[in-house]
Amino acid sequence: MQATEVAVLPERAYNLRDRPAGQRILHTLLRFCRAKPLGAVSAVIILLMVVGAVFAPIVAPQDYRRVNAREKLQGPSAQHWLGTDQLGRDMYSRIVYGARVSLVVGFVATFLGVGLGAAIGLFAGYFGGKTDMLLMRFSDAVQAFPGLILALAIVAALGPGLRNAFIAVSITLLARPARVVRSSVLAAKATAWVEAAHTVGASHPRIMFRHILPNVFAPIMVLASLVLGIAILIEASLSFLGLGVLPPTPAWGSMLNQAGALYFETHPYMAVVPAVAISLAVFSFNLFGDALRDVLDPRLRGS
Amino acid sequence: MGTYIARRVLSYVPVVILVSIFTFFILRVIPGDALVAMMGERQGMKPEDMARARAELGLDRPLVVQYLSWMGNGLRGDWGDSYWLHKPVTHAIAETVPVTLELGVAAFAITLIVAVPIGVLSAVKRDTVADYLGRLFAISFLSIPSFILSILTIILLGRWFKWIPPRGYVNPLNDPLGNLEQMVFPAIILGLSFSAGTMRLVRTTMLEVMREDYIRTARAKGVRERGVIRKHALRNALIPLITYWGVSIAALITGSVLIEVVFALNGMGRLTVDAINQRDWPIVQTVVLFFVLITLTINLVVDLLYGALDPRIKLG
Repeated sequence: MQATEVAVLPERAYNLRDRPAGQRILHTLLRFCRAKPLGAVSAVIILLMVVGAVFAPIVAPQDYRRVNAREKLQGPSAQHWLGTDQLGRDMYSRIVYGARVSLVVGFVATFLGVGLGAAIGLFAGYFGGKTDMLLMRFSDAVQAFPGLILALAIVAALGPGLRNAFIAVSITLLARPARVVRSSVLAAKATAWVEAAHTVGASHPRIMFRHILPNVFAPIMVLASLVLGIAILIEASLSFLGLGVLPPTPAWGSMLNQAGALYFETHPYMAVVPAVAISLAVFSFNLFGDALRDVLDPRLRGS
Repeated sequence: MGTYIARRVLSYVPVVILVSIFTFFILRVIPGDALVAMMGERQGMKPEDMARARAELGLDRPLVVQYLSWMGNGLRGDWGDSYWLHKPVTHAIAETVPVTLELGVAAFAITLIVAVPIGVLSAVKRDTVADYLGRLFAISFLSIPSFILSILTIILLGRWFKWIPPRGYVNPLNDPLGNLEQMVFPAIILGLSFSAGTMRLVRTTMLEVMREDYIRTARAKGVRERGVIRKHALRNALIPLITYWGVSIAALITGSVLIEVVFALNGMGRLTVDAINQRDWPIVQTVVLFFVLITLTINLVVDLLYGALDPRIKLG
């Protein structure tokens, strides 16, 4: 008998674990979309905003600074999709470039704030004792300030501008992550494998990064997504009060500024457009954060 | 119980001290002192005059001494004089406190009236139209910032009803209608904004509580559904709610700051913003400290209330 060649069908690995990473990611994404459709929709909106902001020169080719007195106070038209403001600047361009400011401050301040807060919580929870007391008192002091008041005080001290907005918003955000991470760390410290690692003589950094941090990751992700909405809100509030980014950089909050308020009654779109932008951004981040929290850790409900 | 109170009160003292240090020093981070800020009024002062003015105001002392002097005087009731308003800081702040207080209390009352019933309804009729409407209400007000709501409301009122909110605060005791006219919209907006979070929490806690055994027992005993909800479920659901209010009072204050600015109400929040724009540090540092004190006091009251209401803590 001769060995005949049999066509071998390429076999698909049965377990998801054995399939290529791309398939695993796609599968997880689709499961998320099916389980939390609202979360998926908000994620899409966020993605659109981010893409629009990043590719702003392509998405909004008109110059947002161009002042044109003849075209001022026009409603939406073919040339100016969202109309013009009291100085004749194109609102659509200003909104798209304003997205850059809001999203950049939102993401960077969240990253810094949650990162710093998590570091504080990590050290406080891990080392305990005096370190814990000191760091937690500091965190309590920060948390004692109502959110916007702290941001206002910092901006009052440092002056307006983008860099100071980062600093102000990050410091405002760091108290809650510190608490959440600290309690996660305390829970993780009590487990058997951390005790074992300690007994075996693992160094502090090793224990912190290999054993404790993975447990803390999920609450941090959830917190970060919820905090993003707050960060954008604080930035919008600061810009509204004239304490955010400096002109001519457009920001959603400053478009609602009192300076333009004279025209709002007669030209409501001037207020409605940035209002919708801010609300949509905060709304999407809130929904996405909720969906993420439901998926990752339902125990964090109400936090 | 007594030790519980004492412990809670004592734990706030270091926080207050830290906060005052932080507030004082952060305003002095950048070089250029308050005298430079005041220079806007009197241009071109000679260096000797500037030095003399500095010594008068005590600005040439080391910062730590200035801080201690500020706190020392403050504890005796003298928080310094405002450069911009030319009157003692305490007077300037005292004028604005009633406005903010009225706004806060009215908003909170609206929250109680609106959020708790809707939350209960949403929980009891879970996954029905009522529930979805309630949750939609909550998430809308949670996401649309209160200052945006305020601006849109003013535009709406101006266009459709040709009505502008009056400026200048009137005392409710002197002129209740005028006061109502001023405060009704800011209070409603702030109240609805605040009630979003409350409504969600009421819904969540009610859902949890309704699953408890004692609810089943009450129903088995024959208690009517309304009584079950009111006497057994709601009482237990209110406890975490009180804690939540303590924490979120900060959000109420934040909201009131912006609403005061939009509606041109002469409250503490607006004073803060104006003082910052005027670089009037005496007012800024004192008013910020007061905001923190209010927040901490309310937290303390909430903690004590929680201890009083929850028998597990009272006896434990």
